[in-house]
Amino acid sequence: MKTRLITIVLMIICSQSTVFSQTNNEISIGKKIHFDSELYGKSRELFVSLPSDYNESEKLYPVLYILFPEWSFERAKSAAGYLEGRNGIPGLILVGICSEDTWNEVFPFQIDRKPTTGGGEKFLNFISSEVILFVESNYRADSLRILSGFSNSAMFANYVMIHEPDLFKSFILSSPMIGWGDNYVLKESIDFFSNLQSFDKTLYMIYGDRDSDQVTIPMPQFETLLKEKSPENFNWKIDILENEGHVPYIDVYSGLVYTFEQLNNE
Amino acid sequence: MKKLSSLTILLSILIAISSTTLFSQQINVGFQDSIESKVLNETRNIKIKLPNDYDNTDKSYPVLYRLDGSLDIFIETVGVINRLAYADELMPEMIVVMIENTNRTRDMMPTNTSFFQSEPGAENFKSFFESELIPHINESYRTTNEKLLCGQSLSAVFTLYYFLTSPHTFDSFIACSGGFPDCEEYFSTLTKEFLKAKQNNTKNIFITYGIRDFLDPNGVMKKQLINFTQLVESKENINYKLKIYEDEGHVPYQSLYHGLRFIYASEK
Repeated sequence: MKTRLITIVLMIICSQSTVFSQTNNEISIGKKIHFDSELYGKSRELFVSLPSDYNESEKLYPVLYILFPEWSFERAKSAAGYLEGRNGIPGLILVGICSEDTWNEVFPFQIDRKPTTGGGEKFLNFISSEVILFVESNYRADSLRILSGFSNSAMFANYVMIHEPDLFKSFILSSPMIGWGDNYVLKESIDFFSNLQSFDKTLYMIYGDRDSDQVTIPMPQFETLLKEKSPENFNWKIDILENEGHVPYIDVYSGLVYTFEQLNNE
Repeated sequence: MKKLSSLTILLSILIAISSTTLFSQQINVGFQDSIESKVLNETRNIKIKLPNDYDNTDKSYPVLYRLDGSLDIFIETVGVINRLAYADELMPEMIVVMIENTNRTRDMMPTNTSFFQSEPGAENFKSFFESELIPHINESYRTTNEKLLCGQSLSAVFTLYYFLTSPHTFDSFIACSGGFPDCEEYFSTLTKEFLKAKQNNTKNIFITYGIRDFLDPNGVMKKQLINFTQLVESKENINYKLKIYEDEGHVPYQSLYHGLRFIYASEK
């Protein structure tokens, strides 16, 4: 009996060390973290990547939140890594907020043939009451929060900007699909900016000239809106890339360059 | 009974440890490997990324060799490959092999310059590729014959040197912010030799330059690259592009991305 138990213990120790030596050999850009969400009543996943000097310092770092990092985390990490220490850009903590049901989470309204759409408001509550709290109590985050979104999640980031403006200071929106739901988010944005005196934020938007209709048709209206109605302290830029399609590769890179150019000028 | 319970506790602790390990997984993008080099008389560390479904197929893949195997450049390379091969499906999946530096200037420089006085090692470093690294990768992984070489800054000088002296080894060359720093005459001789030789197979060469390059305040490198372009681009079977970025500095961020689009999506 005793020998059997010892054998089991030894086996577990051995299997652990095997795992350990394998992970030593792997090249990692961060961790997948699971934490319990009260709002969703289950465990949710975050991708977290820390700046290069995080462990040697006691500094606080800005946090770049990345919606649905499954498709953009390496690109974001690559941009943040390249820019760290350049252009007045500090090291950043990257937090990817993973999806469970992409159609549900980033649509604050219902659309045809996608029965789960309409969970956007809940997802926003999840971010504001649970994700940010989790991040800021577990990592050395400073007060600067940047939200980045891509395609449908960029439409959602636009929704976040006008519904909970206090949550984030800066926004990077790549190919925002604001045409969805008969221009739902575009219309809300028109209402939001129609009578706004002050908006101390930065917004960077980028899309390609060969982008989806849900981007290329409403975006010129959005640009006109900002030209006419945006308050003086709101810094925004829209880049339309030639010969590029949906969600340009350079999005996070250009977004960070613009964001810190503006923030460092303040 | 007492002994057993302490063992039970030990067991539960071990299981708890193993489950926390699983609880936060690493986001892996590749792995470390190394090769003993007789040519260089040292161990060289390499970083490797295999295609996503490598373990589930019998397919063979092209290999992208990239110089200066730092973590940042590796992550950037993986990001570009995943984007173009998987998201956009503009190019084939490929194996990435990055060679970490030991003595960078020695390996990259083919000749002496004002900033480099000791024994030039580029020819030796090239032998390492030809007789050790490429055979090692071909034996260890399922590779096709197609190979690409990419370097930046000093390693782009090496990439241009490789292109001019042994163009047959690679199908495509991407040189990011490389010129002929204080060795223009040396390269001019190589270029003349290269132009005389018959070029039987098509070679792609993509060179980038950023106008705001802090290492080139007087535009010397820019002029070198424009001259080089005029000489080389009209040679038979050479698919050539020099891309100049107005808003970028040394080693423009999108060099590899645009290079691969030039090679695989024929974007001029």
